[in-house]
Amino acid sequence: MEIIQSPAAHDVVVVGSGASGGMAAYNLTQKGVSVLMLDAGDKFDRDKFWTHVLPFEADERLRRGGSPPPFFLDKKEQPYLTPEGKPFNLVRVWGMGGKTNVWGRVSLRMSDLDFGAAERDGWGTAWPIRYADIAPYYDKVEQLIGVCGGDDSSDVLPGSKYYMPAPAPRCGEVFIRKSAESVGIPVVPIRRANLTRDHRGFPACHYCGNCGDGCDTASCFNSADHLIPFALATGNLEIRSNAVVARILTDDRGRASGVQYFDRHSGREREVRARVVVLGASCMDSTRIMLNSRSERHASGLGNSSDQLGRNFCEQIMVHIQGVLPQLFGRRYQNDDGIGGGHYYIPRFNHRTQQDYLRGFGIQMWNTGCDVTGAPVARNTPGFGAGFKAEVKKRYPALVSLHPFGEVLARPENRVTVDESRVDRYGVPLMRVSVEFGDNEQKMRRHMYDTAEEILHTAGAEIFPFDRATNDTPGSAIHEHGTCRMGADPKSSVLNKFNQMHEVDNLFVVDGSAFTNASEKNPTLSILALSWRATDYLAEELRQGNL
Amino acid sequence: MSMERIGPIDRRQALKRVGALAAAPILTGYHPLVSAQEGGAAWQPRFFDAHEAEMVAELSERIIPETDTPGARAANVHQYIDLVVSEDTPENQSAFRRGLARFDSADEARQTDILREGGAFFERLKELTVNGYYKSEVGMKEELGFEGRTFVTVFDGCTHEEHLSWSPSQGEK
Repeated sequence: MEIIQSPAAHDVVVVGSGASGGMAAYNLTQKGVSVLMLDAGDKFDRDKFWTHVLPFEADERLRRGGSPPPFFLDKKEQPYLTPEGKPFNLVRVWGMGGKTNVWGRVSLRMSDLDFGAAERDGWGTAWPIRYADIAPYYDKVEQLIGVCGGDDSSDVLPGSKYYMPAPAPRCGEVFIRKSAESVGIPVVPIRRANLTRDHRGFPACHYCGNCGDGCDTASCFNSADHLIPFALATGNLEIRSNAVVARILTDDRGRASGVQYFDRHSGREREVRARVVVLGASCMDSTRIMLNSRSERHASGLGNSSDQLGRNFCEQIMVHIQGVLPQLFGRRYQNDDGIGGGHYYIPRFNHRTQQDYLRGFGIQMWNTGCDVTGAPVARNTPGFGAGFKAEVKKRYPALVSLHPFGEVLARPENRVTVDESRVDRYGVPLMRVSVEFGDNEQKMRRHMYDTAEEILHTAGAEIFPFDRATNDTPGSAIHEHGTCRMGADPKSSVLNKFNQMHEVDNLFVVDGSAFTNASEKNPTLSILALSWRATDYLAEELRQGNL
Repeated sequence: MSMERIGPIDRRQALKRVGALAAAPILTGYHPLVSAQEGGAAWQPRFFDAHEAEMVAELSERIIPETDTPGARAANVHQYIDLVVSEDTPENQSAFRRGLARFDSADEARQTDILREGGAFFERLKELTVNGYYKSEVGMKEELGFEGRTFVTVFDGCTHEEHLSWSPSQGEK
């Protein structure tokens, strides 16, 4: 096959345009480094987002042949494999901005409870960094992207002086906060990357609550709007869309020399050369690319002498418990949309007492108050007929929901591999994801349900029936980590403390795969901070001629 | 994230399994089951025959009847149910059809009696009816008064003295 090679070698090729790749391109181009970005899709057109489309209007549009932006990658286009009996829900967005087009925007700082977890309880490998290493970058990221929050700060959740004002709580959240605090569980304002003030040319949030379908005013952080245009404005960024990266190319010394990719639509194979490669294709796709980048020098995948590449997958286990608060029965409709998602957050609290399991969980509370549909309340209201209909209307404003997210331990057997016998449309081996939750997760899940139930009970809620033996399918948190972890020791980790591959000094992996453990926290703020930090180091190494 | 809403279907199914359809902000997505057909008089069911479709309309109206606001029939909930069932598994389709057959030739009082007995068919019919009705224009706007998903300058949140001054001891029974 004819392979088209780019004539010029770029300083840096960045693979991916989401939080990690977008930040890498943003920072490097500001520093004068020439960057080629390869993105597996196109830019999604903000004018065509369905931000304010109601469900029945969406039905009508679909009926007329319309469609919402195609954010989510179809499994038929890019399948992934799972073993029988181990389902995994992998969510991928291929297109400018990646998952930041539709993300939950929860922006929590990790703390030394997280970075020091392995030393404290002996599970897994130690992070090579501490809070003090990343704190200056949290400061910079929050000022850049705009995060709202309160003035709280704790050992679990370090505060910041850069938050925009937090949104006021909804009625149901007022009851939840008082109830949780009365049983000794602190509640804080949510920290979310929604602009509650105008910022950098972007208008403040308009409180429609539907950020998850893409924000038509870019009033919450999205790499495609808040990073990429600023990188382009430097003149140092070139973007190639619909470039599906398959492999990192290496030279005879085993160093990265460029990237092989396929045009998403034509299927044509291409190669680009670069001095340095930055991978930010998301945890699972970056891992697949590295595992597929085999060579004589890298027989089991790129930089994988440690055999840790693809292993130690970790994320969060999620459960949901809902109910209605009689205090709110019969109230008139009130617009509870807000910034989309809960306005309060329950940080991890379990470390203050002894537990029979390791690590911890936090609790989110989206779907509280007058929701976009009364169906959840109706499904949990008994009976039928005129009385039932009246009862649903009475209970509709009273919905409260708690969603605990618990840390899933990194275990070597929970892993991503590639299957040479199963290939995608370009002939590239598919990833196989083998993940199962274990005993620690089961024990934590019990505590998650007990805690949520106790809080709702204290609030006087009528709790909807739930099944303690269930949790969301692995992958559902969309917080994948661990498969290309950092560490001080090349024998037990793939990357060093600057996200640089131990064995390949001109390859940096800046997405969630670099985390050594997941923590209970939503990771995007930390990914942005780590990518900024890694590319500061990268740019300095380039300047000094070390790369 | 968390990127809190993909495989939108998978997440929805997973949530259904835990009994709390709690679509996180990122997982909303849209119901993929939409009719290519026009509504109203020209509507033709995909799955049900005309008699079954009429029974589904009647039964959905038993669950959410017209009161001072329109009921399920006026919201075309039977069309939504037809779409969902048309894409269900053959086993579930047969089960739905068998459930429906019990209501054949039953008068309104008898229909109500059978619904009161409950059971799997009733639960499924009710679930589909409320899912369809409360996302319809009638259900959202006329019945529940929904005015959101729009541009708001200021979000006030809770401003009610009786909530802000509440304490948990009052909530205990």
